[in-house]
Amino acid sequence: MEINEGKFGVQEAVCLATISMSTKIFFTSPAFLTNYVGNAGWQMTIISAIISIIVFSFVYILLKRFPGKDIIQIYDISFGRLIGFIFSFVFAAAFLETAAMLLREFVDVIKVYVFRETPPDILIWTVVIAAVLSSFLGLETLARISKLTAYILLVTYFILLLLAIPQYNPTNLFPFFGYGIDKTLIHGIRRSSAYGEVMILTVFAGSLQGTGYIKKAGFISLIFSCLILALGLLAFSMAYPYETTQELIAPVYVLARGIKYGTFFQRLDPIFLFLWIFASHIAISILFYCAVSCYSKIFRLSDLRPIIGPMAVLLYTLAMLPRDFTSVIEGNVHAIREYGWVIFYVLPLITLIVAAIRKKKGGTQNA
Amino acid sequence: MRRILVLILILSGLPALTACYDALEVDDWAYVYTMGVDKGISNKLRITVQLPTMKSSGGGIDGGGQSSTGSGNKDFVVISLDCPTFYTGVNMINSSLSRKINYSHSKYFVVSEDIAKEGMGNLMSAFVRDRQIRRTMHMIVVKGKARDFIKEINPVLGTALSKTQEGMMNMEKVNGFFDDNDLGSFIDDIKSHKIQPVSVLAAINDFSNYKKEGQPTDEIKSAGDYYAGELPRSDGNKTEYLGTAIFNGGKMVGEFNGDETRALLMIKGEYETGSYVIHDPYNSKLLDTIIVNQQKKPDTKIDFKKEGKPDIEVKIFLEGEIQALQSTVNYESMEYKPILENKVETFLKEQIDKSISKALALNSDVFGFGEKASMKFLTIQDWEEYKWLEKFKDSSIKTEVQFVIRRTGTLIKTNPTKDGKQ
Amino acid sequence: MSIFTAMRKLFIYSEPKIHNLGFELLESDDEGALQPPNQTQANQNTKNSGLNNNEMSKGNKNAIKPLGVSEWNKSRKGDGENQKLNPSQTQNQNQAQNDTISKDLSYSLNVLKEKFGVPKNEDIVFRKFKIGKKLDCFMIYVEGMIDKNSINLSMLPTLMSKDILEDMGKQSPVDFLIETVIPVHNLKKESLYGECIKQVLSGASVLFVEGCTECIVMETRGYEKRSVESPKTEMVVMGAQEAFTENLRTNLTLVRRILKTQKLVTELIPAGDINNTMCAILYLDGVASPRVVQEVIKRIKSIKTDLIIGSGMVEQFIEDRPLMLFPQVLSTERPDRTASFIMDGQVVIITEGAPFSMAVPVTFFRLLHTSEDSFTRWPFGTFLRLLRLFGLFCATLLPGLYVAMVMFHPEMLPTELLASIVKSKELVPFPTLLEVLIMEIAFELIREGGIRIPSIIGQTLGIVGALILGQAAVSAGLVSPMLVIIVSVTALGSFAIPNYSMGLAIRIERFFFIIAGAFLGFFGIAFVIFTLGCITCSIKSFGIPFLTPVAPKTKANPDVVLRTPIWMQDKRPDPFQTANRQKQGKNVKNWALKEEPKQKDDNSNGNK
Repeated sequence: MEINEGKFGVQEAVCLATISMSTKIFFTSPAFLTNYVGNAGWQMTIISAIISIIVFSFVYILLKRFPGKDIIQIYDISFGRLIGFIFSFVFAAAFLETAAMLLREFVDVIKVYVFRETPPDILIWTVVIAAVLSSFLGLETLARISKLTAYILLVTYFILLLLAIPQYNPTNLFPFFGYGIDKTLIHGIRRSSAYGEVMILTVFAGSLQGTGYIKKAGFISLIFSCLILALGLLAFSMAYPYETTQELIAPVYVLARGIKYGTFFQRLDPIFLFLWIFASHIAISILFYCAVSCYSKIFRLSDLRPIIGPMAVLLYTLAMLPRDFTSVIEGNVHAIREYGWVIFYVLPLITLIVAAIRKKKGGTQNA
Repeated sequence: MRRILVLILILSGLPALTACYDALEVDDWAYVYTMGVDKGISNKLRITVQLPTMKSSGGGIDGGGQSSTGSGNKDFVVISLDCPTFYTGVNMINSSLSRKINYSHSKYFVVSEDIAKEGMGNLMSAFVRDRQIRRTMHMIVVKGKARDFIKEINPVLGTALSKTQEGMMNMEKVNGFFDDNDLGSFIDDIKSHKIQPVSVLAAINDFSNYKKEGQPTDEIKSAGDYYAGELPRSDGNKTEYLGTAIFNGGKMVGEFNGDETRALLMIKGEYETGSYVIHDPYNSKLLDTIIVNQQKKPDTKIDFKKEGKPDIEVKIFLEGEIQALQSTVNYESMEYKPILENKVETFLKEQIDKSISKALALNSDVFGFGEKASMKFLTIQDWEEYKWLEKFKDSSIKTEVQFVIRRTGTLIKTNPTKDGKQ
Repeated sequence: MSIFTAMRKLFIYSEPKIHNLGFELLESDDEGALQPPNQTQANQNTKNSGLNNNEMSKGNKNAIKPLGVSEWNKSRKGDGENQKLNPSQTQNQNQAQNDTISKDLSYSLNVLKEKFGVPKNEDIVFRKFKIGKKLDCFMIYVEGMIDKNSINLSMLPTLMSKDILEDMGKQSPVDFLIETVIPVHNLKKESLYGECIKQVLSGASVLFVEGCTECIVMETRGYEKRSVESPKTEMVVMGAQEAFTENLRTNLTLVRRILKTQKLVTELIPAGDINNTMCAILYLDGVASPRVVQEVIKRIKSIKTDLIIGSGMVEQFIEDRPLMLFPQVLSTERPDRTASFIMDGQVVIITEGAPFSMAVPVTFFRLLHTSEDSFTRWPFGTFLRLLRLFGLFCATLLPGLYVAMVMFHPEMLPTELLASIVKSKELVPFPTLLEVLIMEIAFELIREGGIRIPSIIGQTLGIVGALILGQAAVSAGLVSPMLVIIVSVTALGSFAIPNYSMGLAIRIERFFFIIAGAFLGFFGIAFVIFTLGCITCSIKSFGIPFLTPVAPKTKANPDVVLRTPIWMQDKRPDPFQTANRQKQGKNVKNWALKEEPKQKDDNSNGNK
């Protein structure tokens, strides 16, 4: 018995994937990576995107072998029950951990800048409730809400970048190659996990009308996210010298705080706070739902609602696990961004090779 | 359906149980407009905050109007305190103030000259960590005590202090006598390997330079040839913003006066407009006034020729308008216009060269030549190894000024004055 | 107890119930193509008023056809009665053999008297007389519901005149009377008592003739009704100034007067087990999605209640999600708007007894449209829409944002504004949340009071409102003047929402935002927006997601948020899954082209 997750189109899929990929621009990791690549972060993220596009085209080949099947089923078919189970489980866990860390990062950044005295539990629970609610309402709802807000988020984001123009000083982009092309390249490849969330499309493969649509959605969303991330990195690399960027927690938020036009239009950052909150709410909800969906697919549950509650508690626990913000930034988030590709990219590639060797092919389209 | 509803109800009750931690009514805050730091006497630092008393005169309905322009009811209170660091000081102030201090609305960060000269890099980068501190605050170095200066910040025109403060800083665009630097870029510049920070120089003018009696003089002094606090002025606001404090790293090493600041702005490409007085090319007793605007960003070329020493060429493009001519020479005509333009060009080049040599002597690249120089490097390692800020003093700088008189004001010709003898 | 079970249900797993709600309008292959007249509709006794003759004869075997088709068409009023007859007839067939009318006139009289409870029931008139002074008969009607003139001046004199029965051959007297005698524009035969009673109650007069197993139902309705007046709740400056009334017939006429096409179908379904309110379902055949039509009919038929008064009750029985705040049908009192809904492929339900029609399915964005949008030129229409959108924003969020800003983000306010807020807040004893709630509730009270207040003393309300809320509250130091401005802008915004139900939903949601803003500032507001957004995204109105043209994305008529130029609106809104998408041909300056456009026009509009 399969779960009926509903159907959605390419545009919704693009919005889902793009939001879940590009929300990280608002938080700590962009500033953290300037420690490695200096002011060449935007070049780095373009390299990462190119790597991700290459990997995704391989994943697409894999999906094409199994039309109408999602990645979890593909693992099962290619490896058999046991190894497939391990692979799928790792996949689900990775999504949950990504969601949890995004949640923790978000809450800590918000706490630093706005809610200094509010206990993090309240903030985390609020986001978890939102995730639970939207998961209860289902994938279609999530796809729709992300589609609905995508325009608003995108426009607000670009307004932010445009309003910040007076802060830009293009000479901050020099020396052009940051800490050197070699470092940019290496970190670009390692940090390609920044685009690992594109794999949610493979989990929702059954909900898209066909494999061709997945390809389209994947590539478009990768290019969009690359644009969003690269522009953001470019913007704050231009606004502040790399010496300053390395110090900041959330450089894009600082960019928003710096917007000033006369005595009236200044200190506008609470307005842009909506951008942060919406993007994180949606991204966390999507990743959470994705984890739930993976999990229920692994165990072939016919209804995923009963496991939403326990998973929510798990999400909360994972988010509360790191001791302090430093261990979030330097430990968990860093680990996800640096080594996430092993899970998100290498596992499907292994599957592709194994499937090719074992000559496994998907059955009929059961859309 | 019902399950979702119950879930929402139960969970939305959670925040209600825990109360709202960060919520404070607007009138629970005390909003700092100006913050100041002096050297402390009984402790490391002496901090000063200026707070509006928020006493309304009209009883609410016409809240904006403060009838008390006189001395009786004060609109602002200035509190000073000796303390080890700024934020502990704020805590200490709150032992006598019933409202929580909030500096997200502060406009000026005032530092006294002696602290600036001692070096304030560490102080500043520690200061900016707090979330309420905004990078858009204005950075001001004041001669004398910061506390005395802050006490004198008071709107002379109008009643709103915050508007006065913001408006004052906009005067950079009107006369170019100071280089307004906000806190954010000040801190960026302190840390940057490319440029040295500057800040507004301010002082109290106690009107002592204004001689009520004395011998009238024919001596001419340029408008910008003053430092803050020196203008021969009477009445008006006692605070005066004129000139620029020059830093090397976190340490203040020198001052630019008004004219030098204009030159600084011209080289940076941030100069907007200002009136210059020049001696007439034909009759040096007569004074002509020219409005000078920046036409476009200057063209800076940097080469590394002799043993890695930088070789800088700056081309500055200015344009202007005749504002007043005392001479009757027809400078408006094609014939004479170049003469006046040349005069202005040489005059301005002199000014610019003077400020560049002053900066070279102080070894402080406040002009941001390093920003252009960094384009010649490919990686940060190379650039940091080169140590631009150290080598700046060895650079040879060539300047060139291009000046064009675009318009001549409302007149196209000046006829000589006639008297009965003719 | 119910809370406990609900709590228990939270933690205990139960198999998902498969609801019948899952009606979904998914893309199908036949969509967009012109469909042949629908068979399923024919089976449900659809009456296509006019040209679909073949179909009619197929579908209505049991319908009685006393009149020619063309006559039928002219006297559309009769349509309804005939319609009513059929479903109930099939229902009753098995159950009531003895319900058939007896040949014995006095038996009939007794049966009916018993059924109507005469003589206790004094409304019912039994008028006994002799046709042509020979044939015994009686007429039955409800006092006050018939047109006295037609009975007194034409019917009785004709029937009672001496010679009328002369030409009667071996025909049944009923047929003879129908064909040659009775001067009533619309009548029919009836053979069941139960049906007769229904007809009598709805205003017809029924003639029973001695020796016949059938009676004659005559359309003589003439009860008091309100005349057509100008709209009360949906005023426009430029545009038609007439509104629906409580009378179903009048309303249908108003719509049909605008849509002069034979494709406009009116199906009548009774709802309400006891009071038998008629629901008219109007749609454009070949345009409206047949699946939506079927669904609407299904839902209305499945209503099991004693009493239906007006469309508001029907709405509550047929909407998809009763728990959601947003209205899931679009009510209007304007015939012109109703007509445009029908032309867009929506199905319109008009219920007897309320001057409103309901259009389904509906999307969020259509709730913000008014008929004036399309009457004015597109820049004006767009401006008005944006203004309304801004009004919606103010009405929903402004007080919440104010609370959040003042309590959590005072750094955002410009310094001078902050200073004046602080100064005015100085003497106010209440916390901001309470202050806002007091003002909002006071305002809601004024609004509710304003509707209920007798119009003679209505004047005082404005004074009370303005004085208490505006002046006195501020000068007494109860609220800060800033808040008065906020509340009044909020009120103005909520008045700008064109749909009343939508406005009510927004008025309630506003309080959520105020409370969320007070607890967690902008974070709380964003949370509520997100959850409300999720819920709104999950709503479906007759199988169509509520936010359709945007999420999910469909190929839409550009007329969604902005009002695009009218020549660009060449497609019907896609979400309604209309069978015929094309609404108009290329209209860009057709008049400027010389000869070609005529052919083009014919092509593109040919299938209309």
